[in-house]
Amino acid sequence: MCRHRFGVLNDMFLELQSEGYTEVNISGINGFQYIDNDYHCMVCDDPDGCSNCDGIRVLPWVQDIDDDDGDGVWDDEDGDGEPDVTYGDVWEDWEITLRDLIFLDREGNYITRLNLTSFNPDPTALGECTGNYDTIKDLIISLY
Amino acid sequence: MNLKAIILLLAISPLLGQDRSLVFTTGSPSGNDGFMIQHDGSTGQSVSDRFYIESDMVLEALKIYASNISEPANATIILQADNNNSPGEEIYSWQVDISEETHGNNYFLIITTDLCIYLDEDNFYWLTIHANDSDSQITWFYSNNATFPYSTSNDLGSNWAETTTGQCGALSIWAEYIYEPEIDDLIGDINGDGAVNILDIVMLANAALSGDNLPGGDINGDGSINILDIVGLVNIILNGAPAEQLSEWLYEDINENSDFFAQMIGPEVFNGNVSLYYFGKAG
Repeated sequence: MCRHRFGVLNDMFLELQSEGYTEVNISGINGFQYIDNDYHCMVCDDPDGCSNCDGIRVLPWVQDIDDDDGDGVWDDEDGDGEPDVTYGDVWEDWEITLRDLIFLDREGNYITRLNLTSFNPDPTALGECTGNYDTIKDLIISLY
Repeated sequence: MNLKAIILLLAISPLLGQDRSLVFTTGSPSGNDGFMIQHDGSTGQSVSDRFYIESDMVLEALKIYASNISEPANATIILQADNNNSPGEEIYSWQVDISEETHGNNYFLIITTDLCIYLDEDNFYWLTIHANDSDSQITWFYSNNATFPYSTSNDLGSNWAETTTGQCGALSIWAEYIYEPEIDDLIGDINGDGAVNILDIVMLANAALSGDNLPGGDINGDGSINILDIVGLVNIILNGAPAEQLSEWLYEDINENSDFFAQMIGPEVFNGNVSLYYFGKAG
């Protein structure tokens, strides 16, 4: 079974916690363009009902929205009564590409980013030889 | 498609269907014409395709568009380093009976995920097919486009013809990128010694006086190197480099199994901790 990247990050988070690195947070942000997609298999709250996960995930999962004017209501510039089909605020402001992973240090300073589409973090089978999982984990520990 | 082919496709579908990185492809061939791979001990032909690797990677799979003429059709598939624009040192090789591997298709697959075959960035590599014995004959189908570099050998690779651009043997190659963190260079570290100090000021001052273009010397980003950059560098040494801050946001955690469920979270909430943010696609 394919190991979903968010699932790999969930495993890494739990591993870090078990090793004493408790002051690390990893969160997932769903793109506004995917707001209608069912998120339950992303957080894997029902493993038996999802083909791409095998265990409940504990990482926070939030939904990005498109609210440029900050009024708490989705932007509707074309006035059709539906949210505009566009990117959400954080995806725009942070210049995100799907499957980007952003690192901030303890002061909230931007450190770096990588795209997990290209850099498979899965430490089993398909991505084992790359060492990407350990490289990402080592980077987190170096910021700790 | 026979049962073995279906089973093989099911087995490799996770590999080829999940954003694997296709690092080289000629596309599938349009016809049945191709190179005749054979060798009778003194004459014959081997063929090698050249491909380029832009980043450090691990080889995952090869899809070689070929079929057997004889049965069996024993071949050696060789991954080779480049040697002055010819196939060079062998990196890895596979022994294949192509009559057994194609399962009625016009290609066969070699999965390499467990082999940890590393490919170095900015290098050419070669993929070669030899016939193993005088009874084995193989067709390596031509690529559709005549834009690919390849070479041929009549002596099982002891000598290679001058590399030609044309219709090579049709081939696809998948590999996985190796991540190497790219953390922005230290602002003000003009001499690249990993520290920002008086030595950088001296170097920057010299560049400002001489008018030389010094990489990293335009501290204030105004397009020129002058006294203002020296002042900026002094400020960095005295007060520290400015850190890049991304915009703040707060969204509600909707994962019931998270410790933060139903709470508003964002970078500010996690200040004091190392925090990572994954931008995904639900569904």
